[in-house]
Amino acid sequence: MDNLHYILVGFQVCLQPANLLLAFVGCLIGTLIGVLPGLGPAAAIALLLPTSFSLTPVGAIIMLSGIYYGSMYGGSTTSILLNIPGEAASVVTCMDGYAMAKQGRAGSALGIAAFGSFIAGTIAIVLLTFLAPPLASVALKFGPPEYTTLVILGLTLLAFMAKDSLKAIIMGCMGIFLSTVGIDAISGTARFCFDKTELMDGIGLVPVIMGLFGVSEVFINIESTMRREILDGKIASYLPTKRDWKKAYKPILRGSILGFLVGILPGGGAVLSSFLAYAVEKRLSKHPERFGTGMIEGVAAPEAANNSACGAHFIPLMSLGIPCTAVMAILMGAMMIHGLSPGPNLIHDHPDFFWGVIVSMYIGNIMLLVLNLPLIGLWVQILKVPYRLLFPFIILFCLIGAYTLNNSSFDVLVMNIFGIIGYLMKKVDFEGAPLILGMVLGGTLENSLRQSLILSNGNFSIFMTRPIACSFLVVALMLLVISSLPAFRKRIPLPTEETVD
Amino acid sequence: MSRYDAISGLVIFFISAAIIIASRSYPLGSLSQPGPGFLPLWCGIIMAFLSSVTLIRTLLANRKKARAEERESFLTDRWMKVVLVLAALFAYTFLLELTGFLAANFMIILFLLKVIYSEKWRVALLEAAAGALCTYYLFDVWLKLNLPKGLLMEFLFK
Repeated sequence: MDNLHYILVGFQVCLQPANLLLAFVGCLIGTLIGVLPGLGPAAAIALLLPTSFSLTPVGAIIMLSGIYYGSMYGGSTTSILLNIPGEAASVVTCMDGYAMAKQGRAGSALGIAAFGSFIAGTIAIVLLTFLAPPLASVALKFGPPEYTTLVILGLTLLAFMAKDSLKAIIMGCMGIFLSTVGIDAISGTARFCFDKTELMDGIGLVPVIMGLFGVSEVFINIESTMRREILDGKIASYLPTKRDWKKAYKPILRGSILGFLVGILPGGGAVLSSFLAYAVEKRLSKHPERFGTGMIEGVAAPEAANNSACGAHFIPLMSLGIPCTAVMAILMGAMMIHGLSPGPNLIHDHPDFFWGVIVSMYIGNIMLLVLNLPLIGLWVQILKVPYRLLFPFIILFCLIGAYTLNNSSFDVLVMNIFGIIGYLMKKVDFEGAPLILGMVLGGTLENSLRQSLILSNGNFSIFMTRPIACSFLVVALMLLVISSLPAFRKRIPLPTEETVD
Repeated sequence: MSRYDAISGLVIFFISAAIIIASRSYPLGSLSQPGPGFLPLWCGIIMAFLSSVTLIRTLLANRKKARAEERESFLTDRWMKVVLVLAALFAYTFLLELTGFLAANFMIILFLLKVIYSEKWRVALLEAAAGALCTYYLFDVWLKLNLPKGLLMEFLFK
């Protein structure tokens, strides 16, 4: 089978010592990020983007992806031990996880969380391996109209999933607008540059991301004071008992599939999947009233779901070039900066990159299993370092990172400005993910839109007469209609908001 | 729905108006040959429309219900700290090339520890010095990132 050959290529790429090391570093940093409340995977990836530039494209994405799925592992540690979710996707784990910890069963909880995450992650990667290439070959038939409508669908889906769809669409349009700043590729006109040479290349994506997610997060954290009561007491054993396994294996499998399905949809995130998995388990359980008191199913299912959603997110990104969450948008930005153009051609043109990343995810999952359990003591120690000592360094790394992009203070300025904008946005419930998505996809949207109109001679019906494009538009329209119905007003925030109670 | 929604809606409306005006100064082209101003203009129009909808929605919303739903105060009592950190960020941006990497790092760590978290002088100075030196070694010497040396150093070591 062709795929088998490519998987071997992937192993070849991934097992190079440099890439192995990067996978390890990514997983380590990811776990750390997941453990430390206040800094989420989006912020961490954003901050490490500049450092990734000196790496090869494969190496950079291996490391950055490692951070992402690593944080899913780490988040559960603090949820269980401290009742503080390390990041948004671990909120649900707090409920039964902390209850289990209080009953002295922290070890079982941590163990099931880790093993469940591993199983789910592996399932997701296997599915990814088999689904991404065929999807990409379907997408190869896409022309400009299909791309235009696909981008519109992607943005609409993200808006649909947002707490306030109207605001999300506004942010998406804002992002698209920001992507037009700079020299227009088709006509050569300098747009909105105000005679500043730095703007001719466009507003840097990385400083915006760092500001919107990294710096703004720091501002929010300064305002809150987090109290941490670390559950002292020995953790007996990390291996779940046979009884635990018997109760947990079905939730793990259910959570994995559910998480994967939710994760594959643009906008469906790890947070949503963890909530859904928990709700499903509660529904299916013979003792739903006991959820919240320390049911192991309440830990196993969400943890599995958030990890497999994480893996599923890579499918739209790798095979269609459509990022479905903020983190994927940032990764897409990273790929673009490294000279790879994400899209259906990616798998075909750069098989070593695609398969190298996929295989590294398998290996990363194994590394994470090993990292998480024995090192929990270490993570708990790190948690004891007060935020006030860490935070100057977080700020400094932001500043240095932004500066070293182009050795220019202008990028630092952009980051600062977007930092305060991001902070204000968070205060008024405007989410940053649609803006980033708009910025990343704006170029594609504009080019395909203009090409479509040139092709059709100004006739908008081209979007209706081509079946695939038309179906995307119809789905987008349906989503817009559904989201404006009052019943759908209250929804879960997008999976980028790391809000800590 | 709160008054912050109304304010933010208004702000976005004015921004979109500015975008629309600015986009019109670029050739819009025709439908069959869209020009550079085409997409920005439409972004502005959609944003203006949606922000007006948000405004209207907020104004029409039930006042009492809105008050009840309103989150805790927009500005917490630590808002001054946010302003100070922001000032520090901007100061660093402007001072970096002037004073050089090492000095700027030292100053910002010191400022952040002392002003934001009111650390004792001894701890703050120690951490600032250690931090500045470590980051200097990490980024300038080890990673060879070519960071600014500052006008003074350049003058002395010309």
